[in-house]
Amino acid sequence: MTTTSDLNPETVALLERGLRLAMRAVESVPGAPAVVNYLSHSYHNDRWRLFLEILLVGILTKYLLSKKYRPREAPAVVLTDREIDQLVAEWEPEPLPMPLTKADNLILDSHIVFNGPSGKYLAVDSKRCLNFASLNFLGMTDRIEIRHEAEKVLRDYGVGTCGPPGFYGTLDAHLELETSIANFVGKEMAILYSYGFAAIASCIPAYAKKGDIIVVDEAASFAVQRGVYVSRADVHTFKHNDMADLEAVLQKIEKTRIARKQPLTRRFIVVEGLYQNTGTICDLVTVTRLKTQYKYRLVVEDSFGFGTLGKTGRGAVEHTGADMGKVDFYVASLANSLAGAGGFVAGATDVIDHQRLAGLGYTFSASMPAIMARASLRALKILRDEPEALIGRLRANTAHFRQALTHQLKAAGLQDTVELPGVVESPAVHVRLVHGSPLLAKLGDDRFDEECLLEAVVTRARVGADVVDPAEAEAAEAAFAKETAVGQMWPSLAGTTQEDLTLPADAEKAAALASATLLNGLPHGGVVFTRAKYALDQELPVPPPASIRVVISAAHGQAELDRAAAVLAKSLKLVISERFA
Amino acid sequence: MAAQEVERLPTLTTGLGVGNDNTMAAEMAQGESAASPFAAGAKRTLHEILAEAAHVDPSASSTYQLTSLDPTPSTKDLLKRNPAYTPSEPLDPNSVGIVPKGLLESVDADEFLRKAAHQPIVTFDDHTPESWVYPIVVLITHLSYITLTVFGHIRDFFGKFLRPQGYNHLKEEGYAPLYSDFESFYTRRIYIRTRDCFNRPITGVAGARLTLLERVTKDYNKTFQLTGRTREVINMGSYNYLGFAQNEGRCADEVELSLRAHGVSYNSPRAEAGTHALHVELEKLTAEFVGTEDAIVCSMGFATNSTIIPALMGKGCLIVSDELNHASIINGCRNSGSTTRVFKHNCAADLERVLRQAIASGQPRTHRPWRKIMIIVEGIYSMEGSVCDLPRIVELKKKYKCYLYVDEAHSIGALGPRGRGICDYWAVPTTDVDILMGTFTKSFGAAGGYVASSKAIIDTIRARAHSSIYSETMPPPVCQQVISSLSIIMGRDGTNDGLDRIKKLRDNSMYLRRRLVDAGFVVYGDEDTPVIPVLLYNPSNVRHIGTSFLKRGIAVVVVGFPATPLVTSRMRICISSAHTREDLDKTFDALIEESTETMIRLNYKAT
Ligand SMILES: Cc1ncc(COP(=O)(O)O)c(C=O)c1O
Repeated sequence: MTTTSDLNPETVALLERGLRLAMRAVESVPGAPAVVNYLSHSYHNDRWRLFLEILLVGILTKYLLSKKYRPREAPAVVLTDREIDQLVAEWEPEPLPMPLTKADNLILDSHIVFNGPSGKYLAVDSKRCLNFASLNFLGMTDRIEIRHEAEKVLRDYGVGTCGPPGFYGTLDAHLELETSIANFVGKEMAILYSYGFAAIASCIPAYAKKGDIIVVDEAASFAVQRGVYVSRADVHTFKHNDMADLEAVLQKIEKTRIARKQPLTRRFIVVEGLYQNTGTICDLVTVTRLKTQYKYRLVVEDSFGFGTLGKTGRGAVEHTGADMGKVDFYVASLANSLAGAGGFVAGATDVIDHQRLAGLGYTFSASMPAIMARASLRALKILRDEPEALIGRLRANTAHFRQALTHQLKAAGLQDTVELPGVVESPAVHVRLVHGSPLLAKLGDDRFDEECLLEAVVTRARVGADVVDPAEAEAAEAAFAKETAVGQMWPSLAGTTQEDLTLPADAEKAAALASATLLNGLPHGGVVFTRAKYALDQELPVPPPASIRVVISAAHGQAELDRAAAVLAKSLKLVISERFA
Repeated sequence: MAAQEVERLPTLTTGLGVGNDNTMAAEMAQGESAASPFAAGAKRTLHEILAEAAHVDPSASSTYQLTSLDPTPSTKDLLKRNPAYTPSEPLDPNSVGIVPKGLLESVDADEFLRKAAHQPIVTFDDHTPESWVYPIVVLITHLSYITLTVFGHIRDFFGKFLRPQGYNHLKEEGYAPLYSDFESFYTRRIYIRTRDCFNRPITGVAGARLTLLERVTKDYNKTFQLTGRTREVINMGSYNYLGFAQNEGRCADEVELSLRAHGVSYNSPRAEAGTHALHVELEKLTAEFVGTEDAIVCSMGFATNSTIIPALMGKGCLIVSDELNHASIINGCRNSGSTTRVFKHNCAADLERVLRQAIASGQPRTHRPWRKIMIIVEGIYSMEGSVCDLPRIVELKKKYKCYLYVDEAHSIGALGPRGRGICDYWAVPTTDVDILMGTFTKSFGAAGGYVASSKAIIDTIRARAHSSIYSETMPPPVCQQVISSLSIIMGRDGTNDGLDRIKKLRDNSMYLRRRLVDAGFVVYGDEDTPVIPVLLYNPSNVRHIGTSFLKRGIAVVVVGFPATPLVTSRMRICISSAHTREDLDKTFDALIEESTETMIRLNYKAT
C-alpha cells in the first residue's frame, strides 16, 4: 500500500508544477477561479480525496449520460395488457364527494344568508339584527365616504382588471395603495394580493423551499399552516406563545445542524401578531430578540392586529413596542380593518420584489379590482386621520363588552361554566365552555356535541324571540331611528335613501333592490354571533378548541354592547339549562 | 329575431357547430337550455348541414378575404375528422364542400358530427415549422441564451469586486441567501433586460384600448419612475374576451345600484355570517349557465383551484394533470396531499398510458389500489391557445372510472355557440364532466372563480373548502358585475348583446389567426380560440417585440423562458369582442413590419 510520503519528492514537485500551470490557464476563464480554488484546497488537505472526487465526478457523468430509467414509475411486475384491463375492471374508486360528516353538515346548516350592507346591522331573515360576527373591527363597511369613493372608482375603472399584474393588470390604484401601506406600517415596500388567504400562503413558499427550516407557533391560523405546508420545508412547532419553548426549539435545530455538519439553509420563524384562534398577542419583543440571535427571518401575520392594535393601528408590532425593522415580512388582510379585499406583504424592496415573480398568488392571478384597492386606500386615510376615534373607541368597546359579559354571566350563574380567554385588547373575543365545570358535567368530550351546543346558542341569540328584552328592543329601535335621522357617526344607513337607489335607467330593478335591502323598513331582530368555524380534519396538528367568536367593532355603541352581552348570556343560560336539565 | 341571429353565427372552423345552431336557436327561442344540442332535434342530412355551413354572413367580410381557409369544411376535413369512415367511392380529397351523394345518405348526420367532434382540427404537434430555417433559429436561440448566461457570469465576476454592495442580499452574514443562485441570477441578469415589458402600470379600464402610465428608468430597468404622462394604446394583452371590461353600460349601472344597496365589501368568510343574497343568486345563475345542479363561488380564481382541490382529494388519491396546467392547479394538487402524475399536453394517448400504469401499479410502495383518480385539464390553455380534447378525455375517464376536473378559466364565455364553455363547444353533456371550474376574471370583466357540479359535490366543497371557511367572501360589486354580465350573455336582458359579443369574438379570433397563419407566422393553438400565441424564438425578439409594439401604440404580452420552454418564447395576443377590424389589422401590419428584423415568419412561402 502506497502512501503520500512514499512518493518520490521530485515526482511530486513535477506534478505540482504541471498542475499549477494548468490552473493558471484555467483561471482565465470566468467563474473558474472558484473551481480552481476548491481543487487546490482539497489537494492541500488530502490528495487522495481529490483523486477520489474526480473519480466520483467521472462515474457520475457516466451515470448521467447512460440511459435513463425511472424505477419509481415502473411497475414492480410488468403486466400484460389483458392483466391491466382486468385490474381496471376490478378497481372500484371511492365516490368523488367525500361523505359528509356530522361536522360538515353542521357547517352547512349553519350558513346564514343576509341581505343589504354588512355593518353594525345585518339583515337576516327579513329582520334587522345587531352584527357581532363580521370582522368589521373599525366599522369601515359602515362608512359612507368609502361607498361614495367606490361609486366614483367604478366610473373610472370598471370592475375587473382582466389581467395579472405582470400583463397590464397593475393599476395606479394598486401602486398608490402599496406605497401608502408601506409608509403606514414603516417598511420599504408592500405587495398586494387579491385574496387575504393567498397573501400568507404565497409569501412563505416564495422563499422557503425544500430543505429550509420553518419554526411556527402551534396555534397559528389555517392560512399560515397552509403556507408552511405548501413550501415543503422542514417544519418545527413550538408551544403556543411560549418563548422558552421557542428558544429551546431554535437551540435544538442549531445543535442538530452542527452535529450533522449540515450547510446553512434559509430559516424562518412564523408567528401571528394577534392570534386569530386564541386571541392572544405574540411576545414580539422576545421573538425579534431570538430571531436576531439565532439568525432567522421573521414572518408576522397580523390580519386581526393590523388596524386594531397599537396607538395608531400599526398592529401587534406597535402594540408590543417591538422593532419593525426586525420583522422581515409583515403580512395582513385588507378585508378586516380596511373594508376592502385581499391582503398585503410588507418588507424590504429587494425582498418584496422577488414575490412579483415568485409569489404564485400574485404572478398567476388577476390583480385586485380597483374598487377594492381604492376602498382600502380610503379606509387607510380615515384610520390615519382619526386613529383615536377609531382605535380608542374599539379598545373601550372591547373592554366594556368583556366587562358586561362577565357581569351578565355572573348574574346568570355561568361564571364557572363559560370563560373568555385571550387578552383584553383583542377585538375578537372567544367565548368558550369550561369542560368539567359543574353545569357541564354531562357534556362529553365529543367535539361535535359541543359545537352543536354553541350553534344552538348562536341561533337562539339571532332569532331572539325569547332572549331579547322587549323594553330593551324598544329602546334599540328608538336608537336606530335617531341614528338614521341624525346620520352622523355611522351614516351609511342614513345615507341610503330611496333616491339613491333609483337610476332612471332601471327604476324597476332599483325598487326591487331597495325593498329587499333597506334596513330601515325591517323589524327588529336578535343579535348575530358566529361560532369560530374550522375545517376540523384538515387543521394541523390539533384543532383549536370550540368557541363562539364575538367580534367587537368601533361602530358599536355602549347600549348595543350591553344588549349583546345580555342576549348572549341569556341564550347560553337557556340552552345549557334546557340541554342538561 | 333572436333565432335568426343565432342561425347566422359564423361556423368557420369546424362546421361542427353548424348542425347544432338550428336546434339550439329553436330551443333558445322557447327559453329552454339543453345540456347537449345533440340531444334533441330533427335528424338532418349532411347535405343540409353543409349547405348551412356554406352560408356566410356577408357583413362579416372585410378588406381581407379568408381565401385559404374556406368556411365550408372540405371533404378532406370531414374525413380527417372521422377516420373510422371509409368512403365507398373515390373522392377528390381537395374538393370543397362537395360530398358524393351516396355517401351522405349512408351516414346519420348527427352521428357523423358527434364522431367528427372527437378529432381536434389542429393538434398541438402540427406546429413545428417545416422550413429549413427552423433548425438554425433553434440553434441561434440556444446560442443567445448561452451568450446571456456567459455575459451574466462575467458581469457578476467583476461586479462582486467593483460593486459588492449589489450582492449583499446573497451573502448576509450568518444567513443563507433568501433566493437560490439561479433565481437571483435569472432576475439580475436575464429578466431585468426585458423588465420594461412587464408589470407596466396602467390606469382606467383595460378594454379594447388602455391607458398606460409612461415610465422611465435611469438604472437599466432596476427601478422605474412615472413621468406623469399617459398614453392610450390598443390593448392586445388583457383577457377581456367578451369586452365586459367597461365603466359604462348596463353592467356598470347595475353595479352602481348594487353598491348603494349592498355596500362595498364584507369582512367574513362564507361560513361565518358572510353569505349574502347576492352570492346565492350568483351561484344559482352560474349553475344554470354552465348547466349543472349547483355551483359555489370564491373571490379569487387562483384560490378556487388551490383551496377546492384539497376538499375533494387527499392522501391515497391520484391526480393526473396535463403538463401545462396552470400554477393554481399545481398549487391545489400540492395542497391536497395526493400523488400527482402528469401527461403530455393534450395527448389522450399519453393520458391513457399514465392511467393504465397508475391503476396497474397502485399507490407507490404499498401498491394498494388508489382511493380515487382525478384527471385535471384546462378548457383553453392560456399560453398555447389550444382547446382541450374533451371528447376523448371523457371517453378515457369513463373507461378508467376516473373523475374529470376541467378548469375553464379561459374558455367560459369564450367558447361554444352560446359561450357556455368547453362542453358547449364539443357538445359534450355537462354531466360527463364531474367538476367544471372557471373564473370570472376573464370573459366577465370581474374577479373570482366558481366551481359548478352536482349538489353533493358542491355541498362537500361548501363544508370543507378552505376558501369557504377561512377567507373573505366575494365583494358585492364584483358579484353584481358577474350577475349582470352573465344575464347579458344568457340574453336575459332582452337584447342580442350577449350573442353579438360571442359572435364578434369568434369572428375576430378567426380573422386575425388566419391572417397570421397565412402570412407564415408560427401560431400555436386551435383555430377558434381567442388566445393567439405567435412564436418569437430568440430571447432578443421578446424584448424587441415588447418595446417596438409599444412604440407603435399596441400593448401586447410577451413571454420567454422559464415561463415557456427554452426555444418557444412567444408573444400572446388576446382577442376581445371589443376590438375592431382596424385594431386587428394594425396588429397584423405591425407584426409584418417587425418580422423583417426578427425572422419569425418561419412558415412563409413565397408564391
Ligand atoms: C387556467 C387558469 N386557472 C386559474 C387562473 C386564476 O384565475 P384568477 O386570475 O381569477 O385568479 C388562471 C389565470 O390566469 C388560469 O389561466
